[in-house]
Amino acid sequence: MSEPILELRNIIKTFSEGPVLNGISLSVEPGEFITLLGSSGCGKTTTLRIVAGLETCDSGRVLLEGRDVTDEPPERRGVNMVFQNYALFPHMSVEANIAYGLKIRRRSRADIRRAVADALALVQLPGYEKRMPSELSGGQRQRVAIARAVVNEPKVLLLDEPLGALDLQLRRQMQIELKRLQKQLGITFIYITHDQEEALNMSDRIAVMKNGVFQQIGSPAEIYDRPKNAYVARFVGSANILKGTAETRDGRLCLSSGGVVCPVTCYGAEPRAGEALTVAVRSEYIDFLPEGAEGFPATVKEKSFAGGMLRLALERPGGEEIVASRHGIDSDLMPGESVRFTFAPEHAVVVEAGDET
Amino acid sequence: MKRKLSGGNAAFLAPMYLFTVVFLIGPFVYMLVLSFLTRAETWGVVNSFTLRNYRRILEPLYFNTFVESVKLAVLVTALVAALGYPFGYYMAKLPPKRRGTMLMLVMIPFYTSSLMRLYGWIIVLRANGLLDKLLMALHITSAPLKILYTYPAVAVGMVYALLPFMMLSVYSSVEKMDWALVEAARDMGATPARAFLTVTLPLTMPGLMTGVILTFVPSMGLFFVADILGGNKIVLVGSLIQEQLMKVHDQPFAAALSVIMMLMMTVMIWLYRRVTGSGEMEGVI
Repeated sequence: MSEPILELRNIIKTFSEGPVLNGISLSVEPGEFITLLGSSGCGKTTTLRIVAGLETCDSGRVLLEGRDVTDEPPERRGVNMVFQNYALFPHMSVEANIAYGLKIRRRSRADIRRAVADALALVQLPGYEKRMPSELSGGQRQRVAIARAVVNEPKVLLLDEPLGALDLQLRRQMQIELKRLQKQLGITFIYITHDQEEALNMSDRIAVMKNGVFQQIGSPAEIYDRPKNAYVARFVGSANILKGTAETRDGRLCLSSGGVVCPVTCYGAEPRAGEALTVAVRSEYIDFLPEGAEGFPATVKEKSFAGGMLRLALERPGGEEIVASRHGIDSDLMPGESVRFTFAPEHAVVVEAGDET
Repeated sequence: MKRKLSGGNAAFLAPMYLFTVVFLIGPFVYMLVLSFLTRAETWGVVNSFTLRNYRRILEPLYFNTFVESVKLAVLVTALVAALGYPFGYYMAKLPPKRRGTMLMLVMIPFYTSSLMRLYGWIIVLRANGLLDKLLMALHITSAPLKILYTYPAVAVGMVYALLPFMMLSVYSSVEKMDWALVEAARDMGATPARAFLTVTLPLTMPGLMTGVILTFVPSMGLFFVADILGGNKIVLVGSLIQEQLMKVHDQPFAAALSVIMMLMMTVMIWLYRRVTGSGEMEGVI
């Protein structure tokens, strides 16, 4: 394995309002696209700011290419950031904005002009040198902000919800472009978002964050298919959570809930029979059973269509909500009807086991 | 506001126009006309056109007064900017709670009679006054400095009187700063000093310029500061106008002096608008 380009070692940070980061560690490979995913207030922006040097940490170390930069000011770190609201200098032209970092590094005028033109071509805004930021649309400002950061050839590019202020269509387009840019430049990206779809689309790895702790770090497929806990399962792809007790049948671990027993998959240490068990099942893996078959009873509460998907909200006798989704709009189930559902064992993943949780 | 006024709106605005004409344009036209008339032998004005009043301003005695006034105004403005900018800046960066307290502390003397505060300076600056005693007690000086009734005393008094304008106008523009911009500058390799010079300073320039206008313009005319702290030794344009009007009773000449001073201020404000590209003054007013 190559040397990590960025390493966070047990970072702790407390603001006056309370702890923000509770000892996070992360190792990033060169050229990787890693996303910090979490809802607002989870500490993802603080993590990024600590990497950039805009925030100090109470304890822990930040290493860039093996060099300890924990106490270095931001101007001596060699990382660049794309700010949430772009932070373009309003009193400078697009060209002056992009050239800002190059001028500090005393590059020649001809060099700067060429680099600016290249950067603008890269973000598909050629010829925009003389414009002022106030004359640009949101998407264009975003591109300039990215050009301004990548022109400095950072070791690591930090992106703080860069697409947050854009509308959905532009977001999708920019997602593809950012990914292309990252591959083309070979720069390590650390990307922040609260949008799980965006994270799944773009990342090589995702670090799901909650309350200043990484809940799970892994590839999108791992995060999606093998969530480590109920929070990850729910946050990424909003999985259904079923609680019950562990049981063993024919040598297989099963979930027993409301008198129904169904085999499940466990990637960690298997719980003993009788212990509490929580299972996550994604909405597309909820299968309906014909009348009379053994399955979990529920009532259809709501039926809606979203982007070619049929979405059925079910309610179990205990009151828990289960969401089932189908491609196409072919279900003849109507709200108020009673149904029985089950799921294939390989799609029911144990996210919490044992009595301690 | 270039919207066309409907009849109804015009009616509502009439009192404002009336006020402007009666109290602003009227007196100004009166003064302008007066400045081209001849002074009567004994008292009042004779209705005969002359440029003599303006020619008199070019006489060395009066012209030097203008030059000295401008010099003092430049000095005072520079000092006020040097002291007021950092203060306004740090005030804006204080946590909101303490910011309010600081604003109060700045505003309280601001609302106290300026004449009274100037007499306070006499107590501080006079020979063997507070300042002399303090400096001698600290063995910094061995004899009283006798600052009162000197040029520095006038400068100190003016700086003191005008500092709040600068602090408040700088404060209001620094308060509006988007600090992410400074972070972006640092992120791209700028040292704190460079980030300040290339980002914070240009973006707070309107506040600084407003402060400069609000300092420079009145410092040309604060004749009572020169009178009280300068004795009769320092004569400024303000004092000159007051003297010509109240003591010499040469109304046309006083008017001509006033017209020239107003022209200078107009040029200042025009320059300000050119520099900041806006007609609005930052903060105060």
